[in-house]
Amino acid sequence: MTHALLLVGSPRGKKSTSTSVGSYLLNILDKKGLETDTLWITRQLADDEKLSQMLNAVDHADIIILTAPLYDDCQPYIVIRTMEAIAAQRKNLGYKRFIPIINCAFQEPEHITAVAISIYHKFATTVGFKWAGSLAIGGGEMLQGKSGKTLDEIGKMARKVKKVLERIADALAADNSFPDESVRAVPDFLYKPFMKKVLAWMNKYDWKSRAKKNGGVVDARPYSQ
Amino acid sequence: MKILILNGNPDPNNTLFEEYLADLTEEMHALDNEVRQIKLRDLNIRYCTGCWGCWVKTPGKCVFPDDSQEVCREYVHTDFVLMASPVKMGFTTALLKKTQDRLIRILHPYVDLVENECHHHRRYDEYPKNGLLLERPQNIDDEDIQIMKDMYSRFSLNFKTELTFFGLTAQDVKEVARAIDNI
Ligand SMILES: Cc1cc2nc3c(=O)[nH]c(=O)nc-3n(C[C@H](O)[C@H](O)[C@H](O)COP(=O)(O)O)c2cc1C
Repeated sequence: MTHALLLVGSPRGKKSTSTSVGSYLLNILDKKGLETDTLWITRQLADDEKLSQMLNAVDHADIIILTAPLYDDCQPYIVIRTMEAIAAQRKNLGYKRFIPIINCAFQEPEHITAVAISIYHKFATTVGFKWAGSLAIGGGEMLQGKSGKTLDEIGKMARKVKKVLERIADALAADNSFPDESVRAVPDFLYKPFMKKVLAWMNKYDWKSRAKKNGGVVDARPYSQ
Repeated sequence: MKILILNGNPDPNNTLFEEYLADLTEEMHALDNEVRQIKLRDLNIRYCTGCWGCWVKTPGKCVFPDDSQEVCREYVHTDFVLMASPVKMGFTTALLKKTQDRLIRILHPYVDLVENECHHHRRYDEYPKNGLLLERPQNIDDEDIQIMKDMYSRFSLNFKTELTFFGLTAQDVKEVARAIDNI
């Protein structure tokens, strides 16, 4: 039986968009008869035993789906640490399919496709994984994974992302690859330059009031002196 | 010029890299620069958990007060930051990335549109110019190098600055020091 392993690379752990997106995909694969497993990298990096457990899981999987956020236009620390560990093993990983699914806060998935996907691609070819396609999701915070919500729970906002994930599941279950894809979680009408400005303005109000509620000033400069 | 070197080498036994940075520091001093090297492996820095506490709970500061505070403070008071790292698996080290992720607090949560692309607003008036110095192993190619340059250019764009220097530790140390001094 084909075995799909989901590695969740969000430093937020379980309550993250990486979890909600990955779980949605894995549930479909499960229904299609694949054997599935999920590991959260935050937990697996806790000690050497857990790290080798994760490396063993990678060894035993046929498909490795890595879901992760974008940090400074590339991988967060915990993902780089994992990539270093996988590379250091120097095992023959040739037959395994590798799929990175990356989400970022900004609306434009281009933040992800600018360089991060190339880094993942290079990693895959270096360790011998077979590149089976990638997905860049812009506006990942809109999917509310941080509040622990599933894609089904957030309704319409997840529609576009779910559609792509369903297509990816079909391809993986049929032993196929899929092209590198991008999707914007935000509805298309919000993507116009004017609406982006409106969103940026609303976003200001939100950050400012959240900081104020905690007794802080959003534009503090604690390192000025 | 005030220069900060962020040494992302996790391995103290990599003496060639350490000696190169020590020589570079000396050469840059000789050219009248004020240089401080921070060896990231000697600091207690935990990884960013993406909680946004540095934007909404303690704006501008991380809710976990570890040694990354010192790095952030130095960073905003410097003219030039040289990120120095051996290349591991085609990329700069996880140690360096851990520190970079923790710099998010020196940006503001507000969003600006730069050529219709979202980027964070500046929290401070000025940000240092960036440089990248790599120790290149034999098994990487020019494409890897280009990916890293692209990545650090994007990093610099996010951090309101530019990548103004790129070098390899295979280059003559005096030449590298002069190039940085000319920035
Ligand atoms: C240190 C740090 C750096 C980030 N850098 C970027 C970035 O460069 N571009 C972007 O769009 N989002 C960036 N983000 C936002 C995350 O990608 C975004 O919040 C994502 O939806 C989190 O996904 P997760 O819940 O799966 O962790 C950054 C977040 C943090 C904490």
